[in-house]
Amino acid sequence: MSIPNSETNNGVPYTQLPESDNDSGNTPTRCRRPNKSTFMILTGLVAFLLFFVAVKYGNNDDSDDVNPGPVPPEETVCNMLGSNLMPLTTMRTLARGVAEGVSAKSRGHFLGARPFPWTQKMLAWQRTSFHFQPKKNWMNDPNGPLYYKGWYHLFYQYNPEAAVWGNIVWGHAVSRDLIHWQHLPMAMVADQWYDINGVWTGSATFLPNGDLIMLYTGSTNESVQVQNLAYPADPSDPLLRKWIKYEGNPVLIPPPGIGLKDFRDPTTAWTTPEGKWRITIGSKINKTGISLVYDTIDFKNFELLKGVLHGVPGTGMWECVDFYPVSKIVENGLDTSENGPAVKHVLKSSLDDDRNDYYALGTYDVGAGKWVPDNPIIDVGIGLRYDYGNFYASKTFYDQEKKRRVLWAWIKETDSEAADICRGWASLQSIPRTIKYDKKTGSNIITWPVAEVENLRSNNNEFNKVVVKPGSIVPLEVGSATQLDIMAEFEVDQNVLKKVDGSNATYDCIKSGGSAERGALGPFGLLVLTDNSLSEQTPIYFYIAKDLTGNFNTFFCNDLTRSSEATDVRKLIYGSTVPVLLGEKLSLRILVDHSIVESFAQNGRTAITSRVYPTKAIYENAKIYLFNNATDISVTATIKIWQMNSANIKSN
Amino acid sequence: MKILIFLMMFLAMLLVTNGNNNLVETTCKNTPNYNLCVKTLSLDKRSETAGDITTLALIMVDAIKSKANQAANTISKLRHSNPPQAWKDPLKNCAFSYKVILTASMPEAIEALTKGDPKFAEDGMVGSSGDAQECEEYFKAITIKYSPLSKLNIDVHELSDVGRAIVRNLL
Repeated sequence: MSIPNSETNNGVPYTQLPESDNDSGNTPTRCRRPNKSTFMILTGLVAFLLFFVAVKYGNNDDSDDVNPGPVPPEETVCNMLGSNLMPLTTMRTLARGVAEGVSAKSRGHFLGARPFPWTQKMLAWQRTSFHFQPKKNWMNDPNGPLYYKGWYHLFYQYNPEAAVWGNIVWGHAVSRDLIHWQHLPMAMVADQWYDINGVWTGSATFLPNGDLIMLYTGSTNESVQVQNLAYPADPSDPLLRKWIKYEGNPVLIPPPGIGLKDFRDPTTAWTTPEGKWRITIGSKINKTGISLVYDTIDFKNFELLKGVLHGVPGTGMWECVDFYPVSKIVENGLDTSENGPAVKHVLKSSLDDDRNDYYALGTYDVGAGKWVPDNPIIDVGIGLRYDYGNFYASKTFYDQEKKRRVLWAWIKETDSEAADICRGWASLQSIPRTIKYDKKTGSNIITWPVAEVENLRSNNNEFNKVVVKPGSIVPLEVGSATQLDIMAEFEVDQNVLKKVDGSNATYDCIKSGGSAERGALGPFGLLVLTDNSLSEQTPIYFYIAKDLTGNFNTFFCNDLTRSSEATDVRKLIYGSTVPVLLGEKLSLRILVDHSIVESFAQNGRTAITSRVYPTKAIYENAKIYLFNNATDISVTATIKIWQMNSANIKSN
Repeated sequence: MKILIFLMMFLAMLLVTNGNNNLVETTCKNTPNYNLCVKTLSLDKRSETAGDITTLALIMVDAIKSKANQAANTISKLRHSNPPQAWKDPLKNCAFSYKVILTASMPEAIEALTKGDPKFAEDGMVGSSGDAQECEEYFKAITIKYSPLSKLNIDVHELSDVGRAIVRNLL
């Protein structure tokens, strides 16, 4: 490649400002020439400091992870920080998470509005208490999740240098229960020609003898995307702290016809009837997203299969492809290699174009190495999503201990990066979710927070049969409402349902007027992270639409348009339909953990994750309410709300 | 015979030039500001030989950096030359905005473009667009109609929006 990339490869990844711009009167060092004696004094000082550091931290590999760095003074207004407090390399601001070229322009709607004055207290509140996040800096995709010798492992895309993307290496943490985590030193860093520009996303595979291998994408010294093999240096170490990269790396380079930068994120391998291993890797040809298939015996030599596992025109680059079986019969999850008549296969792709995770159910033809969707109308990338909010680059693994398939995903920030930098961190992982085939509908999967999260529950509050009339709001007194697990059921008056006239109007959460748009049979649900004056509120709700033929269609939505008075955060409306079968009550579950809200309708048929950045509805001022904005129907709600303990993520 | 060779060379050159103009033109047609896009790209010699959109995106990054540097210099000069009292806070905030553009948004865009994960370059473009706009808003927020930086703010804002549209071709 002839692209000039000196700025990213010279060890000074960020350009400097043309001149110093400090108010503090710091004189630029270039103005002074130190004489010899200062030089010697300085040298001595540095030597002493080095000695001190060596003694203090000599036994700790984890120097990057320990110190959260200087914290700006209390009540500092981030937008007023000027240039003095933050290291240059970590500064930037933007509203991210761009979908289909519309989103971040939201800033344009606030012309003339003063950028919001965030305080340290507001920003500190945003850190979560039971979601996984590194102590500081930037994280993105989950990598190689697995269970090994009593420990769950999570690796993740990590920038050790800043709260923005760049300099990507593998962070690493372990847990006994998927909830209480312990940070470990970085598992792999960019130290070889084949991954010097980034140790990117990968997946783990267990061999029949219990050995473990990792395949991951490296960005080479020429920024070509290649696949590399790594394995634990000491298989007897349950914490898998040291990893060895295979000396023959890379094991795969982009095949002919595939872009050098369109070849990333290998899956976990599964077996073929011939006893080979098979993996798939996402790519694209023009605007058709595809999934390449390779067979291997030793993970060192690979054979490219003819054709692709699957491809969908117009979906663009497929990132983080995931491919696994789900059982049509048993409740258990299945090992990635399982197959048979009682099995369906899920194919998932993360679309670079709109940054959402799409999946479809289908049938895997092992002989041809092809997968066919059950319903081409809702093929991968044009149909169902794991989550209709903020949820990307997900990855599942088979938990052989608990016989379940567990899903992780990167939850990005939707505030400005200036705020992220003031906070010192960016991004979360979702609460891990079990994935199952929905036997009742037969047309979707179910995602649900792993059972272990329920061990954090305390202080149960129950509200039985609360009637919420059309156009009313009911406060639910639970004390502070920043760490909650909420289970709610809604009963609607069947007579009204029958009586109400149908309409030919179509409903769509995203294009609707949100929770303020009143219909005959909705919206109704809960307001979380809401202050007493209701000036900030995050509604999560159902909306029932009845058509002219008397059929009902139920929607599940999350409206962020009034979630914050800040002007520099994205405030979208999320949502989709949710299948509701005859005789089922409407049910929802919500996990609130400071700046993240994960919501599930009908036991996980539809999920919505959002990031919320209130300015008033924080700490003891965060409340929860029931609301019913329907015009015609009363709802009767039965709710259980637990306070959630913190998971106290530990450093090693 | 010689004439024929010259003619063929001329035709070949014409074709080559056309080919590259085509890349610039087709790329720019899908941006919010065709004229600014073509003008900016044509000013850079790399566009004459560029065979890929990544190079065009990197040209746009350089154009943004150039304008942002001018803005940063202007801000610095104004701040050190006893500006009107009402300008002091907006200038300080604008210094922050442009520091962010130059030290984070554009470096991230370059890293994402050169390493081949362009979605993060889109983030960088969105960031610089918003920051330049925010600088303008700092002045407007204190009812100053005339901003000493309007021209550069608008330039960076518009170049970033064009840059973002170019980057989206790479996703």
